[in-house]
Amino acid sequence: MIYSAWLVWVVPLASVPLIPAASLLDGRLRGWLAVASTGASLGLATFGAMSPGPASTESVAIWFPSMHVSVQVEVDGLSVLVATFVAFVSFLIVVYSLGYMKDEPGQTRYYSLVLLFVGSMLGLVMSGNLVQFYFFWELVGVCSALLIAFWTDRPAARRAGLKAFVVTRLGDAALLVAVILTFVTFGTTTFSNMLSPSSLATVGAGAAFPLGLLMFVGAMGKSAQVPLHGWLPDAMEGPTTVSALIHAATMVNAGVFLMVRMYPLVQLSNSLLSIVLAVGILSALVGGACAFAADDIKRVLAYSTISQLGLMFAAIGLGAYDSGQAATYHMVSQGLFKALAFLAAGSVITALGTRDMSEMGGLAKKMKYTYLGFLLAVLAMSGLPPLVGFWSKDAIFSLAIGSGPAPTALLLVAFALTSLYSFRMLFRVFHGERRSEKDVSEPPRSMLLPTAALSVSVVLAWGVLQYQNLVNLSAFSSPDLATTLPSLAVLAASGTTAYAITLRYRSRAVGLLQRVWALGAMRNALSRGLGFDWLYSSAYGRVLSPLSRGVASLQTERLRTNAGLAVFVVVLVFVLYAAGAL
Amino acid sequence: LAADQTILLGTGTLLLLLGMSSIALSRNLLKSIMAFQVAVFGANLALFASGLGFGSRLLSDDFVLLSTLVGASVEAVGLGIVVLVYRKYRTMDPDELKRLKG
Repeated sequence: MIYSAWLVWVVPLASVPLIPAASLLDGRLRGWLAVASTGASLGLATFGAMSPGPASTESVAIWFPSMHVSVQVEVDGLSVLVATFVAFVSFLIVVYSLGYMKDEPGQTRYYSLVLLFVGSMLGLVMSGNLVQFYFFWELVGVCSALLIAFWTDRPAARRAGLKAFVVTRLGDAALLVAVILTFVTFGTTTFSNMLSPSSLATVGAGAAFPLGLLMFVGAMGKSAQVPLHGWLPDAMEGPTTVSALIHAATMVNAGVFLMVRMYPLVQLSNSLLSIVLAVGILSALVGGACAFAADDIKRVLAYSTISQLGLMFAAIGLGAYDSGQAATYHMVSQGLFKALAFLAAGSVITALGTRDMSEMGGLAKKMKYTYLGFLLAVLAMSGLPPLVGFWSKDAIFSLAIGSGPAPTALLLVAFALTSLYSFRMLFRVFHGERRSEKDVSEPPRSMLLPTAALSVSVVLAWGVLQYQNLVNLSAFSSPDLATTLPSLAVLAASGTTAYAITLRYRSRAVGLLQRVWALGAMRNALSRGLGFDWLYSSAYGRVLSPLSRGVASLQTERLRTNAGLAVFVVVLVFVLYAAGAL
Repeated sequence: LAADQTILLGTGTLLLLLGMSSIALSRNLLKSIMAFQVAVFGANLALFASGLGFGSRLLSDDFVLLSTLVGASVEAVGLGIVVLVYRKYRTMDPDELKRLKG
């Protein structure tokens, strides 16, 4: 390494306080400062990816000397690949923000939080130990919640931010227990020490199961897996740039990243692998089905993210030698095409002023470049060769074929749903007749250029990754007809179906939905997210709400009464303690 | 427990209780802030004393130092709020303030 790898994440973090300072000089400086900072980070990360060296763990500074915890930078194939990808997407989305957030108030808050997020996310993927990982894991969660609630004057946005914070917290608590348990089990949290073969040999499947399961619950919260997925569709209340950066391309991958990092530990327990596989496939199916019924373009994309993340967990759960690589690869690939879809959707939303797909349609002629970007994203999402999505899906699919007919069949259903909802979205937004009177035009150049760059990356990513040797799939060197043909057949069939029901025979499809009760009921259930939210809120109303009201009544708003109560409790504790000691 | 440790712990606890009781009894917010500081010092003293038993005292010393620093800024903010409250409501009685809130 010619330069110090930790600069990659320290540069964005160090520029956070510069943003408020820059706002004193000139408002426009804030955005450009963020662009420069993420650009520098991207340059450093790319440089690291171009000059491969042996995997290393470098200690930067001592953190908790009594527990032998240091700030460490992990440089290996996984962290270099993901850090470069995160820096790339962050840079483009910050550039896009220049246009998208142009006349919004609160830009100081926006750019500071985005930079804090980018630095923390890069720090997370380059962490050398679990304690540091958990620190950054919490930081990205805070940034995510605050950015979802960015438009504080919208009640829905505030509620969504709170929901994201609370739901992911359930997972975070499990991860915290896992960190402590790791300390107890291994005596260290440094990845290279705890995951070494000799150290893993001392813990059997029995100890790996609870540890891995707690980590997986943390991953489920962060990566929005059923049943902790409800916050992600609501998170779409935030600005589209935030949805693209945090809730599609980077932060939601943190859970998958954790599982890939811990894969040597996770694969020790077969029962854990089956849980991961089951949750992954369930999320892939639930997310795909809900995406098919949603009318809000951003919610479609959010459910699609849940579904794609499910595929990554399914790859891990299959427990093959290549599982980690396949999941990482789909993580990068999903990040690229989903960010592209979000940026194109953001241009459409800005042009039309609505997120409702029933008011869109026929935009292909008016917004040619945006259409092209969205088309590429949809084709990559549904896995058309030679776009990036095809290769990563094929990698997961070939793992499934190797493991048995049941995962293979379920994955094919998930692929079918993916093509169905993505083509339905494409046709409804860009094809058919126009349903809005509004005069639309292409967005400004600062929004078009990042979209174009992501479009190019979706086409070229596979080649670049192969050339730089960043992805090594031993069992998957060239596409195999046995895996490619079924997925291509599914793609063609679902694409045609989507065309039929959204464009060609739309009126008949709508009529069928109204006449056949079961179809209509199914559509309603799906568009309400299958009732997960209802279940949680009624459970909360029955149990937690009365409890918290009781606790709240102890708070009297009178300072002197409260202090008196506190004194009483302290004295009580002392008396009880003394009574126990006697 | 060594004798000096017991004395330190006892003094700390006593200070904590005294401070909290004064908050409960005082009718002046300024005095409440002062009493609050007494309670915090008591807690810090107890923390310091509880670290005495270990081989390395450095960790508890660090935390006490940190806590004292944070306590200083908390005090500054608290006094600032009291001044603002007084300017707005012309009273420093916590009970009166509760009634004014309506």
